[in-house]
Amino acid sequence: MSRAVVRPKSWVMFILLAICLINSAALAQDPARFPKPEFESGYQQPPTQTPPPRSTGREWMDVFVLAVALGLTSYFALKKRSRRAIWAMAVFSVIYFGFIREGCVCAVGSLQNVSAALFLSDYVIPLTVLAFFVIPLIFTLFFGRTFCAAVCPLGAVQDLVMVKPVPVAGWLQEVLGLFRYVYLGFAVLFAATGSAFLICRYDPFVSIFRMGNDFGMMLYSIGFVALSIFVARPYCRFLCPYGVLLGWMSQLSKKHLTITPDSCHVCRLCETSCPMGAIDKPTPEKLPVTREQGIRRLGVLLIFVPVMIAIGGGTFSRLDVFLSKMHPTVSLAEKIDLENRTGTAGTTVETLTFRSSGTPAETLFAEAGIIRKRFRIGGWLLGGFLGLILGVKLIGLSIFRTSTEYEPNRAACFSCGRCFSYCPNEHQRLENIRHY
Amino acid sequence: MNDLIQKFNLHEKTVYAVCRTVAVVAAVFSLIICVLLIANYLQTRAIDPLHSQALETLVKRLDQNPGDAALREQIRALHLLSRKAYFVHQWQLRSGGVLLLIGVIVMLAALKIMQNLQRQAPNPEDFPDSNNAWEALEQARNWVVGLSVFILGLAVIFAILSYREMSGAFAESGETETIALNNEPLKFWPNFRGPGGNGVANAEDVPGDGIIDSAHAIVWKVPVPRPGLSSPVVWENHLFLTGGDKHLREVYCFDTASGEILWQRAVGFTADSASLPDLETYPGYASPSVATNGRYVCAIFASGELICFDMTGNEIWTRDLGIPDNHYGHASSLIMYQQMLFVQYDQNSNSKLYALEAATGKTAWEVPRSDISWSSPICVNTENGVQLILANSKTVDAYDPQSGRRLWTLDCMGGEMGPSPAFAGGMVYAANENAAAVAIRLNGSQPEIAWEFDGDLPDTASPLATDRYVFLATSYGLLSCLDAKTGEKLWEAELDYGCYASPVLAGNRVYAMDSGGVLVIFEPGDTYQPVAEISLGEKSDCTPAIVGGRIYVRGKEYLYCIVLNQDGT
Ligand code: SF4
Repeated sequence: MSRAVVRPKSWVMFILLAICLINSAALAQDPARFPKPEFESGYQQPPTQTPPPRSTGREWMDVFVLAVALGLTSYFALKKRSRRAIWAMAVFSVIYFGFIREGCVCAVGSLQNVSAALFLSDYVIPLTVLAFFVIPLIFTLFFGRTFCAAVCPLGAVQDLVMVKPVPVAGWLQEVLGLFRYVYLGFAVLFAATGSAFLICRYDPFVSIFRMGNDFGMMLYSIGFVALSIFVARPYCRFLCPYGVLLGWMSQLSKKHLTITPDSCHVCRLCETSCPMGAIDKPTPEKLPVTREQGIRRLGVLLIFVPVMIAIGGGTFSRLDVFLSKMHPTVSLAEKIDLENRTGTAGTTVETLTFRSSGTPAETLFAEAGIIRKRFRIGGWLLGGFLGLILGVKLIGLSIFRTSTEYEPNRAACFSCGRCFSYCPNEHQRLENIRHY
Repeated sequence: MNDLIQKFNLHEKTVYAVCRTVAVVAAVFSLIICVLLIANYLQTRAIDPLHSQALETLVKRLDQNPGDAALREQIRALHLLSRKAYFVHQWQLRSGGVLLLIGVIVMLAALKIMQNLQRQAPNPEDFPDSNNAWEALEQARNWVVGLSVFILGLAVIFAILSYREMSGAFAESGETETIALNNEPLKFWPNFRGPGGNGVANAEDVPGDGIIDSAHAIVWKVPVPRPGLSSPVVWENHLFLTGGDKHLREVYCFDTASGEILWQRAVGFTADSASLPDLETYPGYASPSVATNGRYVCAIFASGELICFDMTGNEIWTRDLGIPDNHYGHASSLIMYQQMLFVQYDQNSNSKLYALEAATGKTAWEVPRSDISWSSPICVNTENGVQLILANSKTVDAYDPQSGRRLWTLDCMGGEMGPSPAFAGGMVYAANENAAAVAIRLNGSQPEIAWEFDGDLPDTASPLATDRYVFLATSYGLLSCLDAKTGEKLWEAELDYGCYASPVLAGNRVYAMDSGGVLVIFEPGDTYQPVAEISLGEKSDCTPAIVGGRIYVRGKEYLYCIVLNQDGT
């Protein structure tokens, strides 16, 4: 007698597809916030915001989808150990969070909303955006970076287009990985000063999800996709600022994906399986320096870290004039100042509008002066942060941790599950399942 | 994929060849679409109807010849044509984008299948010889050091270049903002009870010591349009007052030379006047005095309306703090320090101390406070730096004006706190009826109560402190002088009327206004040494302002300028 068996994977995909369809249908009917003017020409008003604003209920629906997707991906990565299911989740995320939700709201960008809410007294963060920021971090704290594996549309799209990834040398990976911290620092500084949401502005994939942008941004996006074919997840590994936070959480995670379902026999078969270079290999037994030399080096570095923080802070605080140009008020003040000094007026739409408002230039300059001062303080914090990160990195690279097996590096592993099939123990496990 | 091939009994090589062909075709297709898209984009830019040269020329011609109907039609037709063309191109761009996406997806899928078909079991023998792990660490360390130097170098270059580029008025303006505001609040009479709110006039402002009768001392007297208890605030030749009632609140700027009103601005942006509390009697809607730093002047009313003007009366910003939960009405005056404006918003619930950016009105920081008060903040330079000192119906607290951090607090007050604190000789003095007069010695961060006095105490007038004496003026007209070091009462004098205005010091004279409108002048000393009395001829409960040797006093209806020297200086 045969029995119809509904495998968990299929019903899960069915539910997700249903959610996806309900949402896209609902999105199409989202009411406009303001009634459109009635023209008799039959002219269709284009939406003024991309993506169009959603009702709160649907925003919470997105939060729900996020949480479900995270739960499923964690289950597929840690329990089912199914690369195929993770891949299917990635396809879902690209379609839902990418093309349907047009890449907004995303956890990566929510970092800026949180920064703005912390530092700008007049900025209020919507609860759903806060949820998008916090939920992936909590999941990472329990299960590692399963968010990156298949839920983040930015990571998923890179994962899907990865065809022929070239290995990146370990040292280069370490150095390029530091740019994530730089990007994080600048993104927080600009968001916290109310200047710009850098991460959204330079999101490499949003032009693709929205099927349009200005020419430069389109080229930038196409370039990134092309790069992702040959370099595994370049944005995630070398730029993603949210990945910094996820990496920290993942290092503390309660559970984490493992390459082998059993113990590692050091057969080396998985050694080159990770295109992200996230597998830590067994280290030579003999340390390159004596214990005393190691301690001395560490001592020097520990003394050096505060110096790096101070130098970084001092130097970056003097970037106030340069960085504050990103703030619209400072940029306007500079334009007005230039016009005043050159005896011109209204050379740009912004200056024209400002002059017609009747506000005295003095007021604008005073406001810009205050913003610049904030950049001075922000520069101290940014430089100090970068000094600290570089110092801690140097310390990390000076401590020799020995290891005897192949295991994923918790901070760097995206839990994509590619390495599973390389492990003979995994084949044995699947064989056993099939058998019983 | 391999499972599928087996399932459908396909030949691997055939599938591989098909995929390769599909990949090549999809790649060529995508490339062609890409080229077409770029060409289309360039064309779209050229036909942008907003920047069409042909249209601009025609519009210019129409400007010169507005009656030309044919030309008008021609413009309309051309505009319609260019808009149509523009939107067709837009549609083409979008459709091209979708085609490109499909092409790329097909190409990637074909490549992936090819890759899977080529996949072989890994053979460690073929793995490239990777570096020794320790060598890799060493290499990475060197590169990180290199990167650190690179980032630092880049930052230094950008800093130097941007500072070099920064020249001209705006650059100076940015600097002068800080410098000017650092020093100038201590000039003139910038807020309630003068510089720092401490009741002591600057040395250069001390009135002459000539004494003449009231009739000759008052050099001008002008009516104030609306009632209020806010005291005069003076900056150069500008004197500011507020007045108002339930329906309208106003800010006035008077010329100190003549008393003429230079400007007068109505304030009434709160949503609903009807919801304002009934404060038509004491203390009314305009009790808090304004604060200025010579660039901005800010005023607050019992309605919770906070407003900022520049010195010529242009409105800079407004903020509605919400109607305070205050049974007498909000009375705490404003004070500024550097570029910040401080608002002591003590009420029955949700009390706060706000620090706002004077230029923008944005909150720099805010801290919650515990109890109600009608007292005003003072901002004084202590041995531990500048402190913002506040009193409420329970405590005396000090805050760091930059960060809002509470530096210390002492639970030593009681009753309905109206008087503001005073500071002299490293001691803070606070007093209130139904509590005590308290001297707080600022022992670094561990302030302690030096002495307490529980004799006759003020309920509205703030104490006036010098290094040697503390003066208290009660609402039933008893003027007391205490020894600043010990709290021992040295003398007391009875005035004809009670005192609600705070006494102030200029040079070696104290000026105390009683509510009968008599300005009592005396010299501080171990005994009471009256010098003179100037009568306004009407009631007054406002604290005098002393600037440039002149005394400015607000009566119930008039504003007065008093000069004591015979020659009128
Ligand atoms: S799961 Fe395996 S292949 Fe994927 S990132 Fe982690 S270590 Fe690399």
